[in-house]
Amino acid sequence: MKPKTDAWVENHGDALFAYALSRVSDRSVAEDLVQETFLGALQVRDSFEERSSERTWLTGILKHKILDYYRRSHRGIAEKTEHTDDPDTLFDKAGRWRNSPENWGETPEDLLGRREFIDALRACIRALPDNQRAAFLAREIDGFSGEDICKKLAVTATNLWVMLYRARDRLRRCLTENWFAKLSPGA
Amino acid sequence: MTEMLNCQKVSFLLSQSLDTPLPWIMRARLGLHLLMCRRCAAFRRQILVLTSVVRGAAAALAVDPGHDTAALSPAARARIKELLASQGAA
Ligand SMILES: [Zn+2]
Repeated sequence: MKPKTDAWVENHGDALFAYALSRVSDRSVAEDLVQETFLGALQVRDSFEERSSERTWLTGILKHKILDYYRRSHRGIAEKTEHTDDPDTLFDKAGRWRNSPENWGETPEDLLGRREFIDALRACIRALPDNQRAAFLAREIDGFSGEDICKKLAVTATNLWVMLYRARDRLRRCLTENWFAKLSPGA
Repeated sequence: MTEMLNCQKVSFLLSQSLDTPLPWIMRARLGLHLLMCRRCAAFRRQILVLTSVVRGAAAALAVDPGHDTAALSPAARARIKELLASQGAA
């Protein structure tokens, strides 16, 4: 049985490419990921269930390919501990906050209604170090469990928790600076 | 052996609790700290808002408007079709 692979590329190629590009930013890497996704799909096409949409099925394969790419390309994606811009510098020797985290004072619903906020969020995510971004998006958007991410990225659980902690901390500070502080200059 | 939780440890545990269940005794100690510490409580609210907005914006974040043409190049499209045709026939 020959799958309609030309139709796959026509129907889903661009969407998968856009998804990949939002994660890896290099066009040729994104193209390779789309290619690997389709070839991988060909291998396991018997597992496709008509109930789920073809797009969802293919995107699921792509999510795995993205994590594989990060593991391959970073020769051990484990978090280094000597960054200066990490949460350790936010605390004094006794482990107390040097500056208090702000009260953002807006609900997720308010924020999601604003295009400019989504743009700020996207820019902050893009500014994360590659390993932190890969781990964070795999966890929060792609819905991988911590255990799965550890296996795919070949890192320990502790290392993953540190990566996610640093990613969340950078993002909250980035959003404070680039969104909330600009929103209310008098506050 | 219960060392005091300081804010630095609390902030890490708050993040960790989003990824793995913490033992109940640790949750109780965290809860107690949060009652007394406005700074850690604010940190906790921030990372919870962050989590909801990232999940809520997932679809918008999966496209990259920074690239005006998020479409496969004709060369890549042709290459992939060819590969699929040859492998699919095998
Ligand atoms: Zn505290």
